[in-house]
Amino acid sequence: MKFNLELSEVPNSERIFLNVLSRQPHSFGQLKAILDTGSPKTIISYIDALRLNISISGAETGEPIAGFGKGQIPSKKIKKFIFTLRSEDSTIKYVEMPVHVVDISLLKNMSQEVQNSTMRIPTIIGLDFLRFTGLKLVIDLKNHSSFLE
Amino acid sequence: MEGIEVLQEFKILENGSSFITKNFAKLQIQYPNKFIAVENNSIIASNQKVEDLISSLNSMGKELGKILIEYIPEKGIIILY
Repeated sequence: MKFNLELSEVPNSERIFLNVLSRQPHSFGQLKAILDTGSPKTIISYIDALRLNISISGAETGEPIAGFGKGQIPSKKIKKFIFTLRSEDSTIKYVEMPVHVVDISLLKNMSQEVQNSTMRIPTIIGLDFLRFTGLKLVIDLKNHSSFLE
Repeated sequence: MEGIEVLQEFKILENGSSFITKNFAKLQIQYPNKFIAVENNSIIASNQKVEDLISSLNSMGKELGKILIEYIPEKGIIILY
């Protein structure tokens, strides 16, 4: 089964996106996620956690997230998060896997600089998604094509 | 029934996502360093603060799960996430 990815080729903003739907109870909605092989984990962004009102009460504390930005971003770990994907032939695939979610309440105690940089980071699909689903990532920039299969 | 609804939602998502991707260079000029909200292939709101943007969308009675919100960096910067 083949799942097309969206390739953005704007100079300095080249990205590969995976469009998925959250089917997490009480948090249904759309997610435009960056597929990032530099991230070991799948992370639901601040914006998407806020927008979809993702409940993290009762979730265990996740490892802090660090990258090129300043500071460490607090997270919670949801053990079973439900995504759906649409294949090229419109078959729906459900994926249930652990994800990290930016901890909005703890983030608000951090410096404005850390808050501002965190808010700009989109949802990230990490390597754990590929490991969990068994899907292979194919990127052919020359032919403007990218997909999972 | 769930399958049909899911496919319809994917269509809306993919259209919105494609709209942002195709118009990204223009959006960088029109909305630098702002968060934008996209519905039905158009920008329905923008703000420098995402909380204020979400408040506006709530006031407009929008269903947030069906709206894409994205940060638009200014042109000429390489963004690493």
